[in-house]
Amino acid sequence: MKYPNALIQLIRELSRLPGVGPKSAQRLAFYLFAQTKEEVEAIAQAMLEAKQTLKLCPVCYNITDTDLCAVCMDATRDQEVICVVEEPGDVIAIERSGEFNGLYHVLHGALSPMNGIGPEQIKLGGLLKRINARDTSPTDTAAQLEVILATSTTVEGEATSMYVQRQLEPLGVNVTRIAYGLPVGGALEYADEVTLGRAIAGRQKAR
Amino acid sequence: MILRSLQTLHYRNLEPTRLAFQGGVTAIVGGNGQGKTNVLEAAFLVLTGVLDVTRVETVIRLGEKEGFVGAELERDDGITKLEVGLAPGRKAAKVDGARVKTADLARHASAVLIRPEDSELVHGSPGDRRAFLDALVSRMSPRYALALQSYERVVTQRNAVLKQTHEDWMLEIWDAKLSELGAEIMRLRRRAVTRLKTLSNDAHATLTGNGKPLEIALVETARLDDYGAHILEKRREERARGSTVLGPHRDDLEIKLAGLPAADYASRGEARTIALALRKAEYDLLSQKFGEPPVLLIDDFTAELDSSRREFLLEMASLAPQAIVTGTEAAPGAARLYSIHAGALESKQSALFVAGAA
Repeated sequence: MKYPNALIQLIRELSRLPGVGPKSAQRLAFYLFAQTKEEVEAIAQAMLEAKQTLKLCPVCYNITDTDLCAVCMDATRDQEVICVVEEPGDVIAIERSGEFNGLYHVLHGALSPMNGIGPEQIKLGGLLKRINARDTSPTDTAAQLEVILATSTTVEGEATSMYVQRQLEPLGVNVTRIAYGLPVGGALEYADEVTLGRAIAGRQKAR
Repeated sequence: MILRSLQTLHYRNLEPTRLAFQGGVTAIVGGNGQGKTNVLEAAFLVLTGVLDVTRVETVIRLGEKEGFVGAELERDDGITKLEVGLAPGRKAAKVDGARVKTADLARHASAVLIRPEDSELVHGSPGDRRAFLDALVSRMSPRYALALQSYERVVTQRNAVLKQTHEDWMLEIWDAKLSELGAEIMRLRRRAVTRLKTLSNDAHATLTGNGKPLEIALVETARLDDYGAHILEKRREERARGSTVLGPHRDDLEIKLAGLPAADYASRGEARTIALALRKAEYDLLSQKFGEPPVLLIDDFTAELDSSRREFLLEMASLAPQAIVTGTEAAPGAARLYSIHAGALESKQSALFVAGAA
């Protein structure tokens, strides 16, 4: 038996979503069919509304529904530290840690020449402009600024981190890279050799 | 270690069954095309995570979407349950019910598979020999497996840069990782080859009765001590070719027999002897690494017509805690015997058992 056209179309659209294969798409389609009309409308409405109201923050490129994102608007945050991440989801992750009270910059990707993602495809230009713009007294303000490179530890994330570092070097900012190490609460014997090796290499003075 | 049971579902032509195994030599007997090799291939997959096919779907029975191989492995410290799920384009592994990367199966189990086509290692391309070396070192060192995976990715990314732009700084971003990972791979390979060399020489001397001496050596393309500078020297050549011209992905494991390259000068028989010596060395290396010998899988010992090699194979099998040996006739000395017909295995009483009862 062939599925009705409307169903086929729905499955096709759903399977274009990231992480959704044909089987999950089919399951989602059947689920949607089983819901009431109001519920489906609510989902559709939420999707449309999100699309209409959300945009990128013009300063840090995080996703926002206001002109400036909540972090950029918050004057109580440390304006002297900018954390560079690959994806908007990374901002949420770092915010959840509660350890960081500075600003962000979202690159929206990592360098991956094999997928055609070069320096022009990631949003770094905005960061350079941001740093240049804040430089009011050339003697010491730039030196105070710290940029934390928090791209992932994949091959692509590392290359991106190195690229950003090189771009920032001439601006005289203090560039740091997040530490590699053991997951907190994890037993040593379960850590893989590479992580453990990095953790030993990056050890700190006991406090 | 001892493979206690092997279970397959929709795996090639094998009928879904649970096979029980014990220590000692198990013979699997059947004609051509009945599925002898498939049993060993499935066992090797679940014990190492390695499946030597280009597309996973080729091992899933025609008309089925997914396949499965499960095993119970007895080691000195207890019984481990290993599972591999197969679907088009992917493999998923579990150890004692917990998801792991397929390559991580090799942390928990080990097996050595000896096949008639092993001699291609000697006459084949440098790529074949690199694959042999990479597979071996990856199983000895998970760090190597990770480094190799990242290294190959860096090479792919870097080659894309070489084809796309002429700006040096774009390459430099990848060069740092390339030399860091490349150097680590070279160091780990050197360490492994030193040990492989001694062990394969010994095995080869035994096999040939101290005939022509075997020499294996790494032929490296990059200079380990100044890797970074070496990359810079090759800039023009890399630009011209649009690819990364030096590093572990271009190295070879050179095999020489009495001083001459075996790839060009070894006869077919000599190549088989060399390949067998390398497998024996692999077996010994993995035994040392795990502190107990791997499961030994010998495919079609009957294809080996040379008496010295055949004796060597059968002796290896009889000395191993466990060996599963296929052939068109039963391996001599087998404690247990299975016959295989059209993918269905049937337990037979072994000749030894019958003789003992009589």
